[in-house]
Amino acid sequence: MSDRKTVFIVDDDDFVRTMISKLVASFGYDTKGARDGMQAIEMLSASSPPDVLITDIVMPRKGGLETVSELRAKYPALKIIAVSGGGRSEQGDYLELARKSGADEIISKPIDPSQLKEVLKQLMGKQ
Amino acid sequence: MRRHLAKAFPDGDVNIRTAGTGVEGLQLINSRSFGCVFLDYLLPDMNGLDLLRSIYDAKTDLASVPVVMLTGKGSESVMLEALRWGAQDYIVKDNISFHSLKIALTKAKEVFELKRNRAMAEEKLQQAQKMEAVGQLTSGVAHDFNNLLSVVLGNVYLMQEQITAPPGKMDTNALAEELTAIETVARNGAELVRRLMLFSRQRQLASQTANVNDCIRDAATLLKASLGATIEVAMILAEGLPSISLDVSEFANVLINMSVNARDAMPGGGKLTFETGSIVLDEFYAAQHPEVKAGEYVMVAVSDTGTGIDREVAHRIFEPFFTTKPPGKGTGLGLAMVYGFVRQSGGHVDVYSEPGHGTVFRLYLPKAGEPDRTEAAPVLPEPVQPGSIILVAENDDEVRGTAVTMLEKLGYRTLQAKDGKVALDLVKREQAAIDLIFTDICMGGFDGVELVREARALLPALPAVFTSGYTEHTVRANKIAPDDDFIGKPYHQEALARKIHVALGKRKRENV
Ligand SMILES: Nc1ncnc2c1ncn2[C@@H]1O[C@H](COP(=O)(O)OP(=O)(O)OP(=O)(O)O)[C@@H](O)[C@H]1O
Ligand SMILES: [Mg+2]
Repeated sequence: MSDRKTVFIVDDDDFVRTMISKLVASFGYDTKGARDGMQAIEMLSASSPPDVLITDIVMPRKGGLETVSELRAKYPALKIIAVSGGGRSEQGDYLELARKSGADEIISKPIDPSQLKEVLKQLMGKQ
Repeated sequence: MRRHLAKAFPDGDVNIRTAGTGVEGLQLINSRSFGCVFLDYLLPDMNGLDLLRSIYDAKTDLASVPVVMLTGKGSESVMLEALRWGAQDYIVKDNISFHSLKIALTKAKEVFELKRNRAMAEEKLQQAQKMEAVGQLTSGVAHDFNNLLSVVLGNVYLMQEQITAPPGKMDTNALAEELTAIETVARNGAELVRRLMLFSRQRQLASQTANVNDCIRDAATLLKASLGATIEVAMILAEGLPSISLDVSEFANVLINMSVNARDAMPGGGKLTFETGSIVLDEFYAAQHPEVKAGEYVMVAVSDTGTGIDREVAHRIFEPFFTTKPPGKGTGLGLAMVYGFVRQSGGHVDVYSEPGHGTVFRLYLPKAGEPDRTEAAPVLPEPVQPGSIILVAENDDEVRGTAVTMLEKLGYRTLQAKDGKVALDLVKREQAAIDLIFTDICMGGFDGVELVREARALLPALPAVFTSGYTEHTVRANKIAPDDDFIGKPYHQEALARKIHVALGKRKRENV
């Protein structure tokens, strides 16, 4: 078993997911990815949980908010970063809602690579 | 007249003004506000309908004041026209009494108020919907652009890391990949802007004279290859279509957008059909669709055999960013682009859908050279038997209303039914009194085809004319026999007159 940390990325936009994966890899972490919350939950239950999960909020099938609260309940130690391009639902701003659902950090799009690097470093340190 | 009015309102609480000519009347109407205008059809300088038309506002479907038309006996067509151009009521001159005037006045004022209030409420609603669309537009664009910028920023970061790497360790393959990613999303961004601009009418179309059939053939070649083997592409292109002025590359985009939508609506495969034809959209159609100018058009129909569009969302599909597809699958700009294109081309788009069966989009593009419509009165064939009774079965109230108005104008009498069952009951009750059934094919449940079959079990020679929002080709292939009479929606009065005439004629022949 390597001691490299793993980051799991959930985003329905292929370009964005690929880009985040490459960035995260360049920061020195292993990466895995899924297209939506449903797929993410399936994949997670089939293998050992990652250290950090980065998820988009507006996605098909299972949206980000639901995914966050479900994962929070299932994996209390998992660090979660919610990412959103802005927008709000009737209940309020997506990023605020994500925090309430149990996300440890929130990042708004467009993603600033240096900020992402910082946030990941902090969350890994906390473990 | 004045005498009757004075008698109807003796206490002088009604202020009466009179005008002897149309011009005087117009001046008076425009100079102050009146509670009601009694308008004679026969004026020395113009007819009352002309005056009415000049104060008619299509947006509210009202004249500027409540109007009661005064006509001679037996001028039903004048009365109908008056009602169509915003009059609330009419009185036959021979029947004028202070009593009838009083009733007409009260009714005209009431109906006018109700209708004006409704028009105002509708306008407010439209405004609200527009604002909602703008809100959606902003957040939709923001979302897509933020994604796109994330990709650009991320890749730029990676490239910066690369170029600061020690010499010899620079990975040029990775650099090339990152550049490509940036280029691709930038192009996607440009496409997004282009579609938006077209929708908001900022971009001018580069029009040229072209033949829509050729454009469709070109697009179909491309589509056959890209839509996948489960989707059959068919073309039924009318001979001798005139060339029209259009932006060929945008038109290709329009066809592709509609085809992609059709494909998405047919996940298990199906048939995509392009059909073209020449069509006249008449005053009736124009009256129902305020953005349409009556005239000659080239019609392009794109039909699919897919899921259809739910009634609840049908009125929203042309809104920018309205989509029922998951994020990433649809941005909701396809039909907004189609709408923008059609409006900029001076045309009209219309959709007909049966949930579970399929959808037809029809584009109407004006024929080049703005046909001058100097209102040559259409030559109507004489009805076979004026007063023949036609049973009109149609579930859409508005469409049925128009059909009935057209038929009555042609001199027929009508019976109405809002579905197949009601229609069949009428057939059973009226039996031989009915001369012809004019029926929609799809009316939910008991359809037009069944109706005619059952009706003919009782009255074997009963003539029938079918109509449908589907194209004739589709209907003939699936629903009705080759010798059945059919007229596609939207139909205009002249064509309807001809169809009915022919169908009624058939019975005559069969009876001898
Ligand atoms: N042929 C069709 N059959 C069924 N539904 C349709 C059809 N065409 C359009 N729609 C409905 O109208 C909506 C809006 O269509 P539109 O083309 O504007 O956006 P979209 O297809 O969702 O996204 P985009 O075209 O931007 O990729 C669709 O999401 C779909 O619900
Ligand atoms: Mg589309």
